[in-house]
Amino acid sequence: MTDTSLHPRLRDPATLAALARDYRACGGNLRVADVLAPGLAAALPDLLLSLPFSAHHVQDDHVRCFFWRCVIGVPPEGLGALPPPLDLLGRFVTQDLPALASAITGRPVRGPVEDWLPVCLYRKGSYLDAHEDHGIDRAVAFVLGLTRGAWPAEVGGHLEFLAEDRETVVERRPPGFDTLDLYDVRPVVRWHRVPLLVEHVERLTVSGWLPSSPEATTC
Amino acid sequence: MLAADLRRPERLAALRRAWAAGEALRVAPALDEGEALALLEATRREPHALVVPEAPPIRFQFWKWAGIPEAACEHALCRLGRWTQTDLLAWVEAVTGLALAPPPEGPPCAAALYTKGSYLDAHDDYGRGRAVAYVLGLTPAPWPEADGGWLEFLAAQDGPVVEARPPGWNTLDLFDVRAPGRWHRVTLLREHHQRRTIAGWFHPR
Repeated sequence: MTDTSLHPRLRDPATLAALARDYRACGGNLRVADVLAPGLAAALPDLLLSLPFSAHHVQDDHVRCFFWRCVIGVPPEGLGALPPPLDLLGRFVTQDLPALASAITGRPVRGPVEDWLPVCLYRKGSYLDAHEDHGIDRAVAFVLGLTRGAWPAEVGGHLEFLAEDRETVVERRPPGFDTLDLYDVRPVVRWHRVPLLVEHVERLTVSGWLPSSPEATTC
Repeated sequence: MLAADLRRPERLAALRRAWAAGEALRVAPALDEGEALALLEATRREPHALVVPEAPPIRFQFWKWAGIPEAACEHALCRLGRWTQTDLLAWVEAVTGLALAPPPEGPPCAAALYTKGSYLDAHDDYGRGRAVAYVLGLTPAPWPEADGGWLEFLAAQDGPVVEARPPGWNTLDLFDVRAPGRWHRVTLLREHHQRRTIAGWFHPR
């Protein structure tokens, strides 16, 4: 296994410093492009889409959603036991991403508390209604975009950040490829949603939350 | 169980003429109101499973319950299952002039629930030995067409829409599927509504 899943540019302190400034300037919400090591992003979608997904349907007071989810368990032997390139994806989520997020957000965070890799797939009929991510072990949210192709916003599936009225769109981001969305879950109450996908296209991400860490980490 | 009006000779005659003219029928009320309410409550209590196709050509996503009616069970859905194979079948034969039979195997009908994100893409029900499709509407109140969940009949697989029907309460849709080309779909439900139906097919006897 290589020693990192990240693009080489994200090892440059000047690049990280600039991203950190951008993050603060954007109020703790930023999309980073060209995130993964060369070739890794291209290798992932076909492999991930070949895995079994199950419906994730939630209808409660906190969130209403329907999309598809594949949970890739990390073997007891560790990430190295995953077949490539899943081993690198595992390294990204559990090691390189927390370090990168800590550097960009200025908040020490650690890897997700879950011992599995969260792959999310939106197809026609999938949606994630407005919510604000509040919960335990959620300091920073992340969305690794692995969507090939693009479509207009009226087709749905874009990530929308909303005003306090939970309807007015203040920022809209199309599904990305080799992109990383990072945003503070707190102190800003950040309403967001993924509108219903109305066509047969596929939005693929690896997404979740990074909890706070008492330790500072560096790339 | 069938609404009394549907047995009147004049009503039957009019329906026969419409069927002979190639129309896709919708009648309302279809059942005695009490029966319709009992069926709605029964379907609400039954857990529905998500159904999605293993592979194209037909694409869909909705929730479904289907069961084999038991001969001596008075549960509303068992009574309906038996009724579709007897009285409803006989009535549909009277309207269509066709000799019909229940499906040769499996549940005679199925309850379907469409929630936000549910849809049934265009298809024509042809090619599986079916003759007549029926859809019993159990949606208490309709909603605007823009919200989706409407039954649309199409001139071709890719449209245009020749007729759009809102989710019905105590309605019965009947349409001829003996030949290819009766394209229809349920449009993507875009809001948090619930479209409930019980549907099935009759086969040639």
